[in-house]
Amino acid sequence: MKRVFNTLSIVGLAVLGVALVLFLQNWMGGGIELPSQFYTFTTIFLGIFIEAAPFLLLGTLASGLVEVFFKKESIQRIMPRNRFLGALAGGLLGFVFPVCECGVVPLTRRLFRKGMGPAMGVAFLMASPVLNPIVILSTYAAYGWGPVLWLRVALSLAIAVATGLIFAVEEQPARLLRPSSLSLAPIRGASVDVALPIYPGSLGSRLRRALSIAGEEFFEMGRYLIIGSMLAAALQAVVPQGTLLALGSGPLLSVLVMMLLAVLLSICSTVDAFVSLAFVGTFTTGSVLSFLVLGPMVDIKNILLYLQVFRRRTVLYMVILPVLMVILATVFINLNLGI
Amino acid sequence: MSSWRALDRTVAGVALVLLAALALVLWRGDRVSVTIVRTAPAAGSQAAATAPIVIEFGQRMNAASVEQNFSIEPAVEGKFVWSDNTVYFLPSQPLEVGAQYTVTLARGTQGQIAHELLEDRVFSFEVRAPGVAFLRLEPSGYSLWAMPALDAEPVQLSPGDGVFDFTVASDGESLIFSVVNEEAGIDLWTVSREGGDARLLLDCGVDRCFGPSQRAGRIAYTRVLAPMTPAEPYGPPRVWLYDPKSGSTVRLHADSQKIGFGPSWSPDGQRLAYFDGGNGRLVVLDMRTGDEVHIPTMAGVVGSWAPSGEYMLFFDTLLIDGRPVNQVYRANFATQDVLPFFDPQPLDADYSGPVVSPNGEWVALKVRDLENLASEQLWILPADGAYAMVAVEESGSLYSKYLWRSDSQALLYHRLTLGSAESAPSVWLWERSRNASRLLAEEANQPLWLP
Repeated sequence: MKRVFNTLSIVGLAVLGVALVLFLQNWMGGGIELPSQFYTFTTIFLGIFIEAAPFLLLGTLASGLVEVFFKKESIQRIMPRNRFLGALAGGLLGFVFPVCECGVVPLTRRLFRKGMGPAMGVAFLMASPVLNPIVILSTYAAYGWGPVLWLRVALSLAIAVATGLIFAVEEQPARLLRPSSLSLAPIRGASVDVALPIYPGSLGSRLRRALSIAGEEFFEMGRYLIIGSMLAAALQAVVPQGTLLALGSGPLLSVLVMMLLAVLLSICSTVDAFVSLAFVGTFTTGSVLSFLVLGPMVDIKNILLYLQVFRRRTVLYMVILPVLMVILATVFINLNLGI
Repeated sequence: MSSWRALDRTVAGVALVLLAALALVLWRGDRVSVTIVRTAPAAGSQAAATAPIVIEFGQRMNAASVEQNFSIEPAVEGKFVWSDNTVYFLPSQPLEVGAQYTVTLARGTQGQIAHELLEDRVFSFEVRAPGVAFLRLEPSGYSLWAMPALDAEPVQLSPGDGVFDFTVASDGESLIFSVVNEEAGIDLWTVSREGGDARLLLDCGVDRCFGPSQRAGRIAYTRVLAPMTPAEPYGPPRVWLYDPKSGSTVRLHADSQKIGFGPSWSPDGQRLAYFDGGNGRLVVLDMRTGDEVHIPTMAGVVGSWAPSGEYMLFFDTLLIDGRPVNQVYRANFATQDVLPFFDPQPLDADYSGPVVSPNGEWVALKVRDLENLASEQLWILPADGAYAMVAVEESGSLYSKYLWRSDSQALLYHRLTLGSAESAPSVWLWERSRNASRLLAEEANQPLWLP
């Protein structure tokens, strides 16, 4: 309840702040000259939040269902023991759980608690925002069955699996996660150490329970989505896209600019392919790919959500590794492939 | 903490390897060259003296880099015009017939966003002598014919008759002609200079499409929309554009109130002139800026562009003592003024149809004695109109469609002799060196050079 209250407080304060400014402006007969950045900020913030919130809700729903309907032992039994196979399976798990980068975080947290290994978990977290039917179809709609689609899928899978394998070095996965992620209560009041059976009761009561878990988790993660969206909007309001785009020439610089743009824009992976079309012809194919591959893995709101699940150092590595791999792959594409 | 150190070490090691690999990739540099899809004239080919030199790239290019790295031997002055990924080098003077030219695009030419040309691209071509294309009247209408060289036998290019008018592409490789279709509309067709491969370019259905003009890959034409019912008259003419690459066609002006006909591209293909019959004026539209220049005239035809595009010669009809008299004017686009070509205006004769030579030094125009309008003379004058000489004069003959050869040393013209059994139209060539004319084709109309 406290989480819900906190979330509502943040949203309420934000709405009250905006309303107050607009009221004052209206009361003064439009006499208050609001900076244009304010309008840019509110537009971008609402755009990011409204776009991402439904997907976060879907992710938390999936998380609730997993919690209520899947036993830890069952999940552990079907997970590959081999690290590479685990990472590969994690990379492809998006086809089973088609969630974007907002929804994947609560679901991954839940799966970690159910015994998913770090290689598989990190690979799932990184790959599923791209390797799922919805995003593949939206990329197809934007680019057709061309090199951009295939390279996006291949690079996302390769980078996610590689990152997952690196994290597999950690023999005690609990050290990657925040303690609160491990103690996430499946049922309010129950201890995590208790080997709970699958939630008992009728189908209706189990569904209600799943929804309750999803609701709590949604509000818990939602506040970080709001903060992340505000941060992304604020940065975009201060650093206009045009400034970045003006820098975007050359095989390396264009990649760096597009990656920075992907991080700042924080666009949901289900629609980013259409947004990136605007850059085709102005930016190199490699840089457009860097936008499409890195954005779903690392952006401002994602980082804030990651921080609710992983320790800071883990998040740092989860940012550094994909960034370096994406730079290498897309600069190589720029300089060696004539696409 | 040992496992943390293992992960730290692994991440640090992987990061170092990735950075080293990135350094290697950057050190190796760009291994992908800018691609050149097409060059024209084709290497080793015979090309028109008026042909633009075309390089089509596979990507957007850095225009300044392309223009800096472009060279042609023997050196030729000219202007670069861009259309998407294609650059057109338009020589300011026609190329010399018989000469061989070599075009080089040097390595290092940069794309707009990435890559550069890794090796010089060199191609050569030879400039051919021009031929002539014309219409020949058949029992059921006109057909399109061409003489690939001045002494060659005429070859029919259109698959049948019903040809309304035509134009020749500036590279001389193809012709666009309008043909009456079965619905009484007029379609646009195209055919190569050799013939035998005519194909429908634009199906206009019941509309009438004619008067094509082509320059730097762009085609403009006049289109008259068919009425809703047969009882109604045809609508006013409007200028339309046709994109040969996409096959799409659009009205020049979105505003349907803007009417006009007879489009004519400027030599650099950046401006389009047409006659606005509704307002009695020539309109010169800058395609880059959308700016328009309006030149009042009642003549109903577009004038002749100077090769530089700086001015246009045209004629207007004045009423003198209740009698229409044509006079020639010069519209200067730089100074935005219109002045009589002759100063003072010689109102004792009718002057019309001025045509500027390709080198910009000469003007040909038609002169009629006001007392004997059935007899005409073709005059040749320097561009400043300082003096004049009669080039062609035959009693009872009318002249039209006269056009300078690319070397500005000869004039192609259409002659119609009246008042005799030999009144059939014919095409002639006046040569400055001999100051004499010779017959090129009998039963021929509307001649155009086939460069």
